[in-house]
Amino acid sequence: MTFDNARILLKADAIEKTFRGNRVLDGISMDVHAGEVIALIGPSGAGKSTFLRCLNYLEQPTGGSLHLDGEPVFADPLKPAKSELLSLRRRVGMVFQTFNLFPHLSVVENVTMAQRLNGLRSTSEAEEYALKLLAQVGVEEKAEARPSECSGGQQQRIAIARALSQDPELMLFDEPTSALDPEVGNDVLRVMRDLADAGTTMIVVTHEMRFAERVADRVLLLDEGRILEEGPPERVFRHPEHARTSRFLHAVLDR
Amino acid sequence: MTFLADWAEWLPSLLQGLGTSLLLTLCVAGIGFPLGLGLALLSIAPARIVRILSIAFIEIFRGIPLLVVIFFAYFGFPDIELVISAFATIVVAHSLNLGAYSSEVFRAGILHVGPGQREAARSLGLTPWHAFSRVVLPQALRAVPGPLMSFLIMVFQSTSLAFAIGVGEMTSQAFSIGSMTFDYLSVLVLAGIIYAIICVVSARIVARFEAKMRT
Repeated sequence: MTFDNARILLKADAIEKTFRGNRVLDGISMDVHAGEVIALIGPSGAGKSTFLRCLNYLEQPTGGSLHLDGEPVFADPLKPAKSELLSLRRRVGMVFQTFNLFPHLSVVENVTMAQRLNGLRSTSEAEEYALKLLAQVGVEEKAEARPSECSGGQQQRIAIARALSQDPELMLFDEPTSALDPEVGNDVLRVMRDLADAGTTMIVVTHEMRFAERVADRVLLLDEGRILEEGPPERVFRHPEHARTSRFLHAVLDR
Repeated sequence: MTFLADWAEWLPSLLQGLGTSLLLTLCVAGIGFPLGLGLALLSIAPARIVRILSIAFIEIFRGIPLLVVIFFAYFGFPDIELVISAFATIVVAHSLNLGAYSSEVFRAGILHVGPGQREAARSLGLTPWHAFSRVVLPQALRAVPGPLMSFLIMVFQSTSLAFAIGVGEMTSQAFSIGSMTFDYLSVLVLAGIIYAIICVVSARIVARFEAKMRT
């Protein structure tokens, strides 16, 4: 284990989400230890992305609570204060399936903007740090380019650098390679594996079973808004407890 | 070819009127476009009452013909003890009209920025103001110059309505020449040619600019 078992970084308690009477998340609880890598897998519509988005309140849960480092994130989880939201999002980085880089800014500006606006670093420090992050994800030669001049794989790695620029304690990845061709997707997965090896705490919604198996410390299989199966990858993949899990794994591995 | 001699004689005063027309266009754009942006922002504001009021304002000034607005202002302002020049009256009335129309362009530009951009900005912990001013607005404004320049051409043409309250722009000048020479048709043809040249040339420039923006 590469992570510190004793320290729970994020505690999600009975997270619920209802969309117009439709129960998408049915009370999901999860402890994430510092340094741990969690893969969220499951059939589409299981609520994986919704759950991930509840963790930084891009979706506001309709029930349940979050704790970061032992402290409640919100005084009232159903009425988040603006300052609580900002603080949560500055501590939790997110990478989207569709990258969502800012097209009107250069690559390096994409990575410096939030650092400067959030008062994290001065302009020159932010720039220096951004170039370091871009080198770390292997796109430093594109620093002055526009996102539109970069390939999809490069854009996603830039998006990772942008999220890292806030020095997040936790990184969320929402199907980061689903919009990419397999070979460029591998570049992104390599960067994510490096992050995991460096001790970054990560929650990854993914359909990349091989990545989940090799990199994740723990796999959570969601189905119909609940955790169906949970455990180390070798157990979930080799000896699932539920027939539903084996059916899902067969379906994705047969593709 | 006697009309050419007439035209040469009339040209200076028409060009003087043209100067006024262009100045009007500039003033109207300078007030109307910022007003349009402001109205667009209000029309998507979080507070429902603000949205309703601003959309009502937009619909009213899009609904009333510009000439009617001009007359409202011209005859209405003195009733509320507001005495301003005819030129200023035109600028106010025309700016309200342009603001209402151009707000739709700004609004479309803002709504065109996809939800992914807003989510990315929020996920970075940007304040709502920074997310709007640094991420959404700059992208929204990139989409509007083409349509706004087309508006500018229409504004230039409709400055001719200023003639109705005696502002000495090009159409008024043409009319006063006509009233002296009784050669209305000839002088209006000349004025029409000048309007057309300016509009056609501007439209070509806009088209070229838009093509360049697309690449």
